[in-house]
Amino acid sequence: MRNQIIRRAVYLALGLMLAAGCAAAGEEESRNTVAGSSGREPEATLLARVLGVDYAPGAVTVTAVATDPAGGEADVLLTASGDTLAQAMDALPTAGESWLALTHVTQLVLGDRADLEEVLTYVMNSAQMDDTATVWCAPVPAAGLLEECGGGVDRLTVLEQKEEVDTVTVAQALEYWREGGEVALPALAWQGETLEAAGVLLFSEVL
Amino acid sequence: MGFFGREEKLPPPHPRQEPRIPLPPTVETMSQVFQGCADFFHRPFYLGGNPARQVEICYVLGMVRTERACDYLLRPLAENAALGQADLGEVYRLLLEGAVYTLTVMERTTADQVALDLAEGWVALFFPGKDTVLTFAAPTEEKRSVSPPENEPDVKGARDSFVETVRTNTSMVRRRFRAPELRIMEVRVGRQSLTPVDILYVEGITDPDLVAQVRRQVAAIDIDALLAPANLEEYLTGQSRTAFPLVDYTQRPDRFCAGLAEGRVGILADGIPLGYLAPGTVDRFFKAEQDKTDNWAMATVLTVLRYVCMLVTLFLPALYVAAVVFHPEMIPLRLMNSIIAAKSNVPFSTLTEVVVMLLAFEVLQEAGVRLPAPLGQTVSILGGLVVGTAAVEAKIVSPAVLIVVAIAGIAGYTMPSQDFAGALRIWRFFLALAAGLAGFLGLSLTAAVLVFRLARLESFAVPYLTPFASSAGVQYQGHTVLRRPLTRAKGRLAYLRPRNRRNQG
Repeated sequence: MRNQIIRRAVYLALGLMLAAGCAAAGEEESRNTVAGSSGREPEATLLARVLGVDYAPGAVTVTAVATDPAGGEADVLLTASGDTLAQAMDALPTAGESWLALTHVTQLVLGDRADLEEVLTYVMNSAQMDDTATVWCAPVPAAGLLEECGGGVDRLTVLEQKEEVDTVTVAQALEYWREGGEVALPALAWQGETLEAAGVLLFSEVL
Repeated sequence: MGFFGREEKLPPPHPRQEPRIPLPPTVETMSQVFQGCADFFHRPFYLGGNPARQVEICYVLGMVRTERACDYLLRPLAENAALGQADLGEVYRLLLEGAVYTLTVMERTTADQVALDLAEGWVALFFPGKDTVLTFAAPTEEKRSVSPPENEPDVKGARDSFVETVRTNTSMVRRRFRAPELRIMEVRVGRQSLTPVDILYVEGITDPDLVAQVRRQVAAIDIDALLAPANLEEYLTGQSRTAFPLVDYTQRPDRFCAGLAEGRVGILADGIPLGYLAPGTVDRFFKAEQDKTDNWAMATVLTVLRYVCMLVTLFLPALYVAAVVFHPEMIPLRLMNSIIAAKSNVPFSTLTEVVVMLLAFEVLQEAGVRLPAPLGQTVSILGGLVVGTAAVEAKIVSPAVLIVVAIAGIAGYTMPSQDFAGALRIWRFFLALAAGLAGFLGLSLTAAVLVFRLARLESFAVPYLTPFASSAGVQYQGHTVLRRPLTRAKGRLAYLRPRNRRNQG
């Protein structure tokens, strides 16, 4: 009888754990809550490859570039804004017709006024985004640059493999920033009709 | 309260009537017992041709081998003049001590014994005025001939398999196990079938407590008839709340004898062409007899492959659902894009696709078992084409799901034990549903439940997860996942508690 009670108690506990899930505290939607139904069917999902972040007085704009899963040539650009970075990121997944997943973002482009530390910290703490994404910066708004080059997914992938370009990941950039107070990020520029690497830009706390 | 209504209250079991036939062992009693049976015959017989020396014989036609009964029993009784001259008491003694040409003569004192002997093909000889009966063994030997094992093929090993006749099966064991220490106990199981069930063990090796436990379990089976393997398996283990097998079975006498040599207890039942070995722990169901015929390195590779395939068949569909629906970050981008593209225009959710395909797989498998051989191939091709090709082209399922389910299904066929594979097939449904409900959390919790249930199982007081658990830090000899060269596996398995731990010099 006692064994039966213990067995039923264990099953009940496991069942309650299953129902409650492990909701992440504080930030974006948990992926494991049954009540929230956070699972997404793949056909209803777009995968963002590139994320651009622009800061303006009182507003933050994020731009995501996703490739067409069917293999079409045109990249899909989606934009969302908010008072803060967190608000803009919350609005981004529902900016288009399909749900935008940020799980496969490999390139992060910071616009000319982006708050480096806030953006990098957000990506590091995100349950979706990967801290191995390559960080770029641009002396112009990222949204415009990405729109001008039609997304730039493939071009950025080519650029980061060039020998003369010293790429930095999100994790590395944040580490350099926190330890040394400065980080040099590879810069992007629209030259002629193509997106090119244009040296580096030094971000410094002093500046 | 039952699930579909009030639970039916059954009457208590009928008490065993001992004796079944409370009458004296006479011809009249046998005629009454076998009244209306078209195969029961009795006739008077003159010993030595002397009408003053009349006896009665009874037999069941079809069970008795008539030429043997006539040549070796009736002929000497009729032609031996001495039997016709001596008094009946002396005749009785002569017959008991070998005046006829049969190996086995039994003196029966109860009607139960005589009736059972008649049902088994013996000839009963009734002497007037005597309260004991002589029965002579003359059963027919119609049985299926020994054939190669269908479900346990082997390239290098023996080609014989058990048949339905228990005595033939014990003879196959004796041919391999010539040690006189091999013991064969018989228990009758089934109130109506009275099926002989033989319990085999090796004196001096097998744990006597294990033998006693098996014997108790077999003797405690109180059913109408022992006709199907499930009758023996479920009652033997006494555990009905698990799909996992708790006794190992084999068609192969060589594998059966290997189990006896390890210190296990073997069970052979008349009418069932299988040999059972107790206890059955989880590692038994990953071993095939070809592991002993192959080189130790090859055997190790194949065993590791079976364990990997077990994980694949159990977890792959659930992993697919969890990764695609809840954790797409785990899947490389190109593969994810491919899955997204393939799944566009499919009207069902990923979980529904996986569950439907698993069900379709089960249906195909069941249909393949039931179909006659000439139709089986046609239906297999049709099923594969319809389910595989047409369903994908019609966008009812996506190709990725089809591949996942096919790989999981094929991986399941590497299990040497069909019963174990069946249990895995049931649990992979639960795991897929849990993964569809809550991603990896659901998958992990359900896997924890599975391990929890397996850890609670015991087979004849041996934990089911032995030797992976409860080894007390001791390295097991022999073959668990990695097979040692046989020259280095010098000990019998400790969890069998054998009387003699070493199996070689």
